[in-house]
Amino acid sequence: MLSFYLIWSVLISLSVIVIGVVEYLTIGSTGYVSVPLDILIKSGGGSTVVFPHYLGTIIFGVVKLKSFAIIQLGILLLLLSPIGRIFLQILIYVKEKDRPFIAIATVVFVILLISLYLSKYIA
Amino acid sequence: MLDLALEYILLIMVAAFFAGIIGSMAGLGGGVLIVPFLTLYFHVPISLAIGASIISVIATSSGSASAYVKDKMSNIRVGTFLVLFTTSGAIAGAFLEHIAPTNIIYLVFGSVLLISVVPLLKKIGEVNQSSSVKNDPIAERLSLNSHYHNIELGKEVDYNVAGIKSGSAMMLVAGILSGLLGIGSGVFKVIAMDTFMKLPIKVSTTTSNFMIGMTAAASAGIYFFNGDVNPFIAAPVAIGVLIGAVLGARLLIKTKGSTVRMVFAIVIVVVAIEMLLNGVGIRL
Repeated sequence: MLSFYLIWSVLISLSVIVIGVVEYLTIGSTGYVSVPLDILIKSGGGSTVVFPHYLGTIIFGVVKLKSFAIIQLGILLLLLSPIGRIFLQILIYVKEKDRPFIAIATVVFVILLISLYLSKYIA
Repeated sequence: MLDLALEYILLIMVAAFFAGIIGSMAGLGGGVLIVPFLTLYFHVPISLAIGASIISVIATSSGSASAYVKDKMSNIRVGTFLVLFTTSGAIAGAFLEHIAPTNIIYLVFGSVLLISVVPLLKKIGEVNQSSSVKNDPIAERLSLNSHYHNIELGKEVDYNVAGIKSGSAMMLVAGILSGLLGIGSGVFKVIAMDTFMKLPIKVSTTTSNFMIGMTAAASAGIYFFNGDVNPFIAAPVAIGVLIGAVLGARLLIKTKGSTVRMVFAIVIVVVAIEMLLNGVGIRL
């Protein structure tokens, strides 16, 4: 179960990012306000200020097949993969009736959720 | 015109690929290798480079984990237990950010890293954990001791886990540093497991790989929601690192412990120099 998750979480987020990059390179549009490419590259990407970075705007952009929204979805899936993994570990420890580790993994899971929740306010 | 974008993306991807290989073998996220490359060569603004670095850390962790599915090398029980300390340290560190003297911290820990190369190199000839290592009482209770495939001896080798208290304390410090300085602090995790907990080097780097993903996930949200994760930079970094980390993890299984130790020692020196430069105000 864990190995299935480990392999597929990587494959899925990788393919979503690749799809977004391929769409960007073929259509040539981020789906958002774009700056001329030479300026973009000279600034090291710093001049692309318009791209979605909240769950709502990402999903909205993915529905409209905007390339940068698709990339961000893939990256978000990648960022969340460790949290999904620790949740799966809790289930495995429950099945094995491994009490100390049910407690340890649950505390780690809660810490990660709290920090994710707090990050919305710090950001 | 799009050829230019393709070229740019491919170049970053290749660099990220190598960072992924080295990161997954040495037990760190490759951020230390990627940040100077992005800022010096591609003139990426530092905030975006750090955003890309946090992606690189998680990609290294998840990528190598997916490659270890068959060959169990990392000790997940030890890793999960220690992640308790690194994640809570990371949150504490984020709160300390405004009051801590970061320059002094960079200088102190940069020097600590340089010094810690010595004990690491002393052990370079060791093929196996010394038989004098006793299981820590806490390790006994949580059954943390395990076994791994030792390539020099060509067989499964049992190992014990010592120094849980000093190791945990060091993990708390590593976590605080992650939150405070925005670094993955994989090097400190490997040193803690190698020096204090006496784990075999390959177990230390792979377990660190597991841990850095969790620790980075604790602070990744801040960078992502803040808009520091720019798709134009982060996408090629993620793709390159993921593929590199899978390959690095496959390579690690077949690599001798002493070689892993050498790679790690070189990486430490690079990280130490970067930290010392940051300390005197030179930001790579």
